[in-house]
Amino acid sequence: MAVIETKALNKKYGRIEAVKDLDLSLEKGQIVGLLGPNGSGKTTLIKMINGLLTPSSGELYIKGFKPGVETKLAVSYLPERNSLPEWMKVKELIDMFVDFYPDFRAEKAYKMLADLDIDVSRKLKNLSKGNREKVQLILCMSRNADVYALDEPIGGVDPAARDYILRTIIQNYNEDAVVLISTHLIADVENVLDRVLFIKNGELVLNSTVDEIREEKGKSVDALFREVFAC
Amino acid sequence: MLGKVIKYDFKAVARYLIPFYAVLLVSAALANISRLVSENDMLKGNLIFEVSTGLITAAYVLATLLAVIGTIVILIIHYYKSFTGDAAYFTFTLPASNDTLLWGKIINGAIWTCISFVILALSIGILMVGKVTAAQIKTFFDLAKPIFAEIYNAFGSKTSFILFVVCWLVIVIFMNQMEFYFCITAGQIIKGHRILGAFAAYIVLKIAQQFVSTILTLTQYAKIKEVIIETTAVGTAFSPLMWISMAELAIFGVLEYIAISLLLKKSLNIE
Amino acid sequence: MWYFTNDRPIYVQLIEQIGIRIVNGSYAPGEKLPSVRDMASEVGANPNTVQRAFSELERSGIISTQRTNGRFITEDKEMIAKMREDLAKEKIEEFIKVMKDFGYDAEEIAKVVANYAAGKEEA
Repeated sequence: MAVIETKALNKKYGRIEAVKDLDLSLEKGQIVGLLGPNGSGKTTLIKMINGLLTPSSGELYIKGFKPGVETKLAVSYLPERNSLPEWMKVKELIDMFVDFYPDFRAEKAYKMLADLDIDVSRKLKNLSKGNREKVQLILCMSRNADVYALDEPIGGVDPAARDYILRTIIQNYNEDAVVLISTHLIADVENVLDRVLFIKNGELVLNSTVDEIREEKGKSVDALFREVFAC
Repeated sequence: MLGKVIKYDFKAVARYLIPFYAVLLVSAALANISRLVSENDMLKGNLIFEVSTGLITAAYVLATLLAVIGTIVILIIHYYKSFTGDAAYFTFTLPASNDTLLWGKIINGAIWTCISFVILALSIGILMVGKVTAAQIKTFFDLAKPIFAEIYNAFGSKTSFILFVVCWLVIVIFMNQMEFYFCITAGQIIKGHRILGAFAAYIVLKIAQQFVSTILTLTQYAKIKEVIIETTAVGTAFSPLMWISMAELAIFGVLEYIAISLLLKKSLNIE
Repeated sequence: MWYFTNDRPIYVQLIEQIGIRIVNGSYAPGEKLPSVRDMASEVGANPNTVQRAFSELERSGIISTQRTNGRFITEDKEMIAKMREDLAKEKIEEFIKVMKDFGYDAEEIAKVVANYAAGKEEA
């Protein structure tokens, strides 16, 4: 069974069609790149997957369920923004995740934090920006979820942090899960992706594995992207 | 799940309210102490002392306002931050239904409102310690007896009145916050002007409440007329009016809950 | 350091680079390879890609899987020597083609290479 499945999925804001007629079927064990310019509909799609937005029409299933409480248990979301309570200490955040998510692995989180020398007794707001983002990522990846939805995980960080984030994603790879990475920094993540989805003006214009693109077109995903989305 | 949601709502709000309440209790204690000290003849007339007593008393009054108004304000801010804005990305991806999340806010608000009442009573108690004697308390209650008798009459019986007070307290504790939550969520519909939208929703709500209130009061027109023109005891009109206004509170509260529930279901409209 | 270009599948490049490490002794014969996950993390690639590379290498006999123990480089020194030869041949062919494009003939190529290699020895 596909982990994420959509049929003619649509999302409209007034007259603006943010996501148009999207058909998708993602099997488990893949790291998938959701690629497209800003405003193309990637974030809208992710929000429908994690239940923050309801589709205007069409169908969306996560592990066979329509978005709801069960799917929220199955989806681990890393938003683009700082959404966690900043006044909490890191260890309090871990306790909270343990409380709400049965699939959360606290030992894993503590280990990753220790590897980065992050003091768990500090409040989130007192950490550096880079560390704050890493904490959010660690909390997200410490869940044993069926879908990891990462919205621009490497956006505002330095190259070394980017490497760390990508390595973390690789190391937490789970063959029963789908990792969905929405980004516009394609060259940096290409090597980590199994499959890419190009979203243009709300439509899925390409659904292919990275190897297929490189073998059949002899170019990188980044180069193909520049062609497809040339302004 | 509801318990967990309430737990974290509670913690978020506690970090502001506990200091507020502590300040209130401390200022009550200080006010009491300064009054005790002021009874010492040596210090009477000492300007610095008089001024500081005045300041301490003012501080106590302000602290009371802070605790009481602060409670509802902090609850509103917490709802606003949690349900709109960046934190909403976390709130609404928790494995809890929207109704559970909403009830979490309501029950948490009710708990803190109760706590605030207790703290308020405590602060008054602290203020009065040493000042009020048992005899004075008895005199106060003796004087109050006839007034209460009138009130019991108006409500039909003592039990009836107590029932009314209990119902009213419960409704206020839960519904007090509802209209603000409703305004905030309703305001979210107007993108780009969400806070203005909240104010607009508040005005519309108040107009609606006035409208309903007037109509319902008019149903008691006959009784009111009796009271004014034929000077029948105020009590006969008083009780039904009180029950009516309580019913209004309750009904509006329920409607507001339903409205919020529907609005959240339709679209969260965050960011 | 592992270096991949973007225009060819990574699994192909990974096979080549693992091959080079085997041939030059970085990976000794019979040595145990890192797990798929560790390798993926080390080279910065997708685990499925690494899996594919490993499978290909296994098919050609260069590495073998021992049930629960993991993957091991072959101990067959002859196979490794042959691999080295094949890789060298490929490069030489490329080189000669390029030199011919520059206008060198076979004799000149041989002389230039011998001189250069000798010169490098002295220096």
